[in-house]
Amino acid sequence: MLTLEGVRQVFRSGQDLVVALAGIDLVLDRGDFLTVIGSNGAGKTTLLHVIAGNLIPTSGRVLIDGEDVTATPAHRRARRIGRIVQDPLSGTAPTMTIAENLALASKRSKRSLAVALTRRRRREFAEVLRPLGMGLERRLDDPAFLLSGGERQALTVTMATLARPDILLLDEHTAALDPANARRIGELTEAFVERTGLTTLMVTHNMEQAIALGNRLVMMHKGRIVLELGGEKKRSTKVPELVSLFSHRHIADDELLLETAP
Amino acid sequence: MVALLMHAAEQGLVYGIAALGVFISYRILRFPDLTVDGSFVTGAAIASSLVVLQGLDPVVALAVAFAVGSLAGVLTGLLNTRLGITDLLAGVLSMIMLYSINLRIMGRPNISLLRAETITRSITALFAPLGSAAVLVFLAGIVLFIKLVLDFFFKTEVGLALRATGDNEAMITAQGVNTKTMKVAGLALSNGLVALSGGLVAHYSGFADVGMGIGTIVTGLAAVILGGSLIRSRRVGWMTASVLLGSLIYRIAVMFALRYGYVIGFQASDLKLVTSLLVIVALVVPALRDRFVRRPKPC
Amino acid sequence: MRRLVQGVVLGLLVLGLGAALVGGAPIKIGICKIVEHPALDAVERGTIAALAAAGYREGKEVEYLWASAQGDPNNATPIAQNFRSQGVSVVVAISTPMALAAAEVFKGTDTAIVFSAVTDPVAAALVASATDPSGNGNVTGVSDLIDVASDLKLLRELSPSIKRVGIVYNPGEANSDRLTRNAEAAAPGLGLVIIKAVADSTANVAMAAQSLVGRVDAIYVTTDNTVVSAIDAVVAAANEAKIPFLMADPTSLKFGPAIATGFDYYRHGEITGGVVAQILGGKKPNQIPVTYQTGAQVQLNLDAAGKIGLTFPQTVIDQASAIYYGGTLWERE
Repeated sequence: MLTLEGVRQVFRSGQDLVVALAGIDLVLDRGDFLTVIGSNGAGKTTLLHVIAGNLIPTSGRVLIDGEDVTATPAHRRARRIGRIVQDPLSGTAPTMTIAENLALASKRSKRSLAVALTRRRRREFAEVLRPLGMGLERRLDDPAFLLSGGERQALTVTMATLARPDILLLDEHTAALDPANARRIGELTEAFVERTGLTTLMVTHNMEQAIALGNRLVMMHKGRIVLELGGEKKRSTKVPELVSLFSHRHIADDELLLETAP
Repeated sequence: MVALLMHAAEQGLVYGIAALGVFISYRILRFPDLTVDGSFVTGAAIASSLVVLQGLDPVVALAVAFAVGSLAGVLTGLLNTRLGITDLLAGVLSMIMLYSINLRIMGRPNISLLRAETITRSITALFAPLGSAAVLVFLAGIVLFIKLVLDFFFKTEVGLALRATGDNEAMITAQGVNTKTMKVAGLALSNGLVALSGGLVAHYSGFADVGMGIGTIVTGLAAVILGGSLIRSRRVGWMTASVLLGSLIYRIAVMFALRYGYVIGFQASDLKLVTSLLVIVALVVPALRDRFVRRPKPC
Repeated sequence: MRRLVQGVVLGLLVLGLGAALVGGAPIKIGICKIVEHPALDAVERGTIAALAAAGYREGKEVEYLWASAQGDPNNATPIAQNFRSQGVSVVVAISTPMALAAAEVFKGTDTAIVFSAVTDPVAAALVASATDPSGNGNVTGVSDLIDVASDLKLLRELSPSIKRVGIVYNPGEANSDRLTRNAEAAAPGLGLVIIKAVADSTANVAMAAQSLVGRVDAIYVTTDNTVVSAIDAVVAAANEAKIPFLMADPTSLKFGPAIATGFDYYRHGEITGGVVAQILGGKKPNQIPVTYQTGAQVQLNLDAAGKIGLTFPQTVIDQASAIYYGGTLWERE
């Protein structure tokens, strides 16, 4: 489904060169759910940018279903890739209404001069929102900026489901929420992924979440994949083991250790 | 007085079309586009020279004015999205280029339409039974039509994508929209409307002058912001209505300043001062009303 | 409060009515100009002075309504509409855009439009013909078209070594554009070459003038409002290059050009006032041909000439009506 071959991403910062990705090789099969952990600056977000097309890698290739999309602009990959990031503000158009945001997301083919919001569409959107249990189905004409962080992130996840992408990229999308909302959005995402069986790549700081979700796990450090767990081995791993595995590789990272405390 | 108010309304409508153009770039796309100071004159230049020098039908001339104005918007859009020139500078560059282009189109700095078949003359002849109200009725019809078309457009799939481009560019890119194309298209529509307004102003005033575009962005913004503070709504239909209301109030302010400025002791040279003071009054009065009518509840 | 307002309004009505009955209502004249400018202000004053001299005194026989578009052509039409709603009998429209707006708004009415400080009324379609007024409708006026050829001839007289003449101008000004074309047309016959430098705004005048240094033997500026506003920059360039600068605006002489020619705009206003007086006396605009002002003055600035080492030949001195010397203007007796 998704293949990365020797992807390197180097940024120029003044006179210095900063290596954000130092050669990533990764193959995700259809239906794979990969969790990515790593310290700040490990290159997790850069990795998502390269896959989404916001960055063109310095070298290496990105393939989706065998097709080389390394230099394809983001908006042309968008039909196949859904993406939810940490900041709840970034996934919705703030001054547009809930219904309009959903209408934007549910249309990924060529946009026409047809009216975007018909009565039928509004009914459909209300049905999609109802299971969230947030009452958003009664607020279809409220602009998105009136929603709380949790509500906006729920809307963003809903928009991703409407778009039916092949690959879903999650970038710590519950990290900015309070624990109750974080759990809710987490469950919502899980249910969605399970139902559609789409290929998912999730960056998280939460090790428990990293173990609990998905069928594969990688740990990144300084632009490299330093550990990969899959299948039975991943399920049986406990957080302390993961930390010790981490330490075993002589990678000291206080922040990472802190994150292991629930 | 009635005649004066009618004239002020006519101007509010004609310049309101330019204000709608500014609304599209400034409010919808969040693109501070200074091209309009040039494209307003481009519209006037095209609509005048085609009628005077080529003998074209005024309606055709105005349509061409709209089209050429759109090209000016495309130019600014390409400078910004393809060459990476910042929005303000891209607009400034287009505006400066248009000054020379406008002089080329007109062949001289000022074109007289006194002896030409203008749209206002055709309309007055066509709707003769309406008498002096003919022009006002005609302009109201055109402006209402443009407003409704815009309202409809902003509810279509493309229209929603255009609004989202100004609202959250990263998000709409992730939804598969090429925001560069959207910006170019939005600026084209915006400057097309501004040019149409310029063309109508030339026909209405009886002349096109290369200096008539200076301040289009300022009066356009004044209308957008003034209207927006009087009608606070996020619904597109109300927003476009508010822009037209702002334009009407601005032109009524100019007319009042001209008519009554000297009565309260101002001189001819105080015109712009009095106009701005009247706009301030229009802005402050609703705010005062809010303060006195809706007292905050005691805690 | 309401009673007070009613009282004041009633009082004003009675007063107004009284005045109308006693002296006959004064004739309303609307005077409008495109922008505040020394030359255009002088036209206003000259117009009123000439009308007063002809027996039309302000506040007695005539009442003036003043307006300025403050530099924005978009204000021209509402100004004319306001004049119309107030029932003026004559509009004095100073500058081309004001004249065009007034002619459009008062088209087909009995109100006379008297334009002033318009360089080319025929090209502006204000009148059908300058000499035969019968087809001009309700429009006539006074043109300030200067004789560019005679200015160029004057430069030729200064020194035979003058071959290339630089013109700083704003192509966006109707008057200036027209005069620059006239200069280009007249130059070959006088053995001169015109080199143009464009300044589309006051801020660009300095750069345009500087671009001429070393490329021309003299600088000429016509009645260009943009350039006049930044005349110091042109003077500086002329002094740097040590070449004579001829300015077609006598009021600018003291700012440093070696020679100033052209019309006295107060006089231009007096001529305009004379046309208005004819109309008030019963003549129709289509009985009065367009007046072209004649009698351009020549004024010399000896202080400026000293700075560039220029000595005026006797033939030029003979034409001068005034000289500027030692910081004072000396008029010929």
